[in-house]
Amino acid sequence: MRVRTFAARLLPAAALMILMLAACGGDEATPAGTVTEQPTSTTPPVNLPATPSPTIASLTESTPTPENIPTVIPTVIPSPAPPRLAATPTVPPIPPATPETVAPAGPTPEPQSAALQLDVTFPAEDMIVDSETITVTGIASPDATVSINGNLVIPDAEGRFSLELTISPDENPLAIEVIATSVAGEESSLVRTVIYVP
Amino acid sequence: MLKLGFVSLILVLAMTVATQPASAAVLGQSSQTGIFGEVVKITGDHPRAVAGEIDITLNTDKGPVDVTANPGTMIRVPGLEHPLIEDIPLGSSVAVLASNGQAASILVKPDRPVRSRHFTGIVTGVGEGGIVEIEDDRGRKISASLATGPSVLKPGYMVTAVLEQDLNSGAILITGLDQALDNLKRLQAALERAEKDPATGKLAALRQRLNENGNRHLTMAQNVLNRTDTSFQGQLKERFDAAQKAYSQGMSRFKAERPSATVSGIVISIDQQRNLLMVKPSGSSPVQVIVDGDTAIRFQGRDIPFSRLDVANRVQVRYGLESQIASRVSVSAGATLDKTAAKVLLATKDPGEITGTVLDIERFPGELPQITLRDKDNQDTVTLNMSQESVVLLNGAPSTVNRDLLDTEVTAIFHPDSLELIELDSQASDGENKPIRGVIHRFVAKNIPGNLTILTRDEAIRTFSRTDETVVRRNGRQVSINEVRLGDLVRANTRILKASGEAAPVLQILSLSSPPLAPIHGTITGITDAGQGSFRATITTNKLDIMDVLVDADTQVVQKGKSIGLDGLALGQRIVNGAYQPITGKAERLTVQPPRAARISGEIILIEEYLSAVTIQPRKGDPVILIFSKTELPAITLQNERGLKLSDLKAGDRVRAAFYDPATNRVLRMVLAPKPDLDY
Repeated sequence: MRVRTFAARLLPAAALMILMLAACGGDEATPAGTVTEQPTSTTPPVNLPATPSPTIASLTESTPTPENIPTVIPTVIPSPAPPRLAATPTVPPIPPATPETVAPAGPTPEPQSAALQLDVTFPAEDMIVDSETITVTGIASPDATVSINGNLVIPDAEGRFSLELTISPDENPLAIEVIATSVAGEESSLVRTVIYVP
Repeated sequence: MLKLGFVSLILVLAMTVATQPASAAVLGQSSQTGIFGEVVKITGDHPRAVAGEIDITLNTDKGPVDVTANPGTMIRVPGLEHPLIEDIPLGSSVAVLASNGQAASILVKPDRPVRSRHFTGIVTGVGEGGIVEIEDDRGRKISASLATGPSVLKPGYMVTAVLEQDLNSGAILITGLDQALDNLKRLQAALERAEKDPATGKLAALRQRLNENGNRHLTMAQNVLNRTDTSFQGQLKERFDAAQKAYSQGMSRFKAERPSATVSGIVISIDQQRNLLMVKPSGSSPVQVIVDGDTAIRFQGRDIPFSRLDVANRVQVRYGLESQIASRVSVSAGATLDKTAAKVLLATKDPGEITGTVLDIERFPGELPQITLRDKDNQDTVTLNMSQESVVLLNGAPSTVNRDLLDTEVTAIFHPDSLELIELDSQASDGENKPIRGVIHRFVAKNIPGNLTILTRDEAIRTFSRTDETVVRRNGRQVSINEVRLGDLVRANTRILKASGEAAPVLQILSLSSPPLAPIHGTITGITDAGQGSFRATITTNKLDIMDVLVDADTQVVQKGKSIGLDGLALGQRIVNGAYQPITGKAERLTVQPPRAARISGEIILIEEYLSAVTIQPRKGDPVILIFSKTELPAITLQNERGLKLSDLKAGDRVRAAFYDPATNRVLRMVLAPKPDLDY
């Protein structure tokens, strides 16, 4: 069972916000069951990889291929340690290519300082809703191609996107598949599940 | 004010209920409940099972919850067409809609998208009925009906297609198409915005995205252009030039790099005098680039001078398309195992391995011996069965099983299911180093430190040094170093010498076996000519993974027990059983079945609602009458509009694709064409 934190954090904050609004004489309240707050930051998260041991490197630290680029591309590329005789600073001889047994995977884009971004702000993981329509909202890199359950969604210049889905009886509970890809070959995806209880 | 505060409080309470993320909750007055949990028990061990009731215990955030599934319970499991309760794996995370303890619907939560995915490539064909062909830089090809997309689509466009799989009809549909030049426009809009508000600090990152998008777009376009026959190259070249111009303008406007491409291949010539480097990619023409003072040439994380490059080096070069000047040259130390193949190989079943003492050797008349070992780690005893293929090594030399092995410490490798001995080695692990199991990830034939890496089962890459003294074995028999291949499985009786300092450990014995064939199941969604009478078949699985295999004259292609040859392969066929070499991608055998559904496109000329029938006139041939089931309504879509009904159809509507059961003419899925239809 996954831990859900979004709604738990949102609701008290939303309650506080609305009560403050009421106290200040505001005349508009947020409609129940909707989320109007949009994220404003588009700064992508940057994860620095742990320094690899001299002879062990994580698989995901190898050069990304166009098909499967890590979701978060490190800004610092760990350089493999010299294979042996580490005390001598000379560069080891470059080997000739060995006979090719694998078709090359095509060009490999270099890691970027700004990785593809994808975050779904609503719904949170494992939500129960009382409306058969649900508006999926999130943020991605502005150039990303985003789809929600097979529907193409175009992010705005800030990367924000949204799409209203209807939960049909034969798809309740509904798995919401959100995928973002870039022309550069990056890919990020996630799945959120909701149950509509009338 | 008080009234307003009260209203707000009510709204807050309503919102709390409406968006409750809970493991089990009942909303409003409904008797229905939504439950999220992990399946810990499924049992039909009670009298109610006769009526088809199965009890399922879920572990939820609020403790165990029992629900009962009955014959009416709708069950969905990712990748399965008609799943049953027994298809729900124990330990899986599920979402359940229940009412009074009875499960109305159970969804096994997918951990990744399985019904939709993206596929980025170059449009290589737009055919009748809106079938679009898209090819990527790895040669994989998708041919699918365009359900939703632009009204104009020409070969040469780079696009990202949103694919959706309909398991009912077996159809793959393109439900969205994003053109790369539209991605560029969005990026430029974001750059303009960032320019106006430099405080956000996004400009540099967006410029970098522009550089990388441009590089991949132009590289892919160039690769596909190079692979295409000359009759088609004119169109593709036109789009390539247009794309290069668009990036050139955008990059110039936002002070990014100049348009570039990347070439990967083998260095075939070096002209040190004129600073020229010629690189030959696999399967296409060589590319010549200029190396200047600003070119960064890197090998194993260090800068090296141009003079260190040599013919036959494997390199990846990023170069300016206008200047041909290389900005980066990355030199690779030998061929590296393809990631897709690595994933497949790591998924192969790991043979059993035990290191311990030989306790007993039993011989029964007419049978091969059985060997009983005591595991050094846990003192368990295991009896292994010899077979004709079993290999026994005594002090490194092939041997028969004899009493000399008694009380010696050995490493045995065996089939975990049958307990059949594969290899028994008296040179057991010394206990200082854990057994190394994995696949050869990178290999350099030259005798240099760190010349071999192994991708281990836990997905770590470990570097070793193979020296002249390293004994290399394949299937227990000593072989020359020339027989080491990427993807070879590394057996547990591989031994290393004690490593000194930070140097890569030296291999004393490298014990290998050939990678097994990998299974293939799925639907053929693309076929391309691979030359010399062979084809590349692109296959999508039920979970929408995409793979491609090489099919040649040696491949057994069988349908209904009969060999149908390569010419019998067709789009939409289902591969129900197949095997291929994960390293070379070559298919050994394919057992195919006809497409689950027939497909038609054309114009609706008659609707008979009382018969639930629609007549479609295709562009060529006779009209076809299709039947709509009243119990299982087919999905009818028009662009992004879903859930259309038979009553929404009218004569004159164009059907881009209708998938139907050829035996009954029952419609399984229908996609209407937008107006105006796709211009092709």
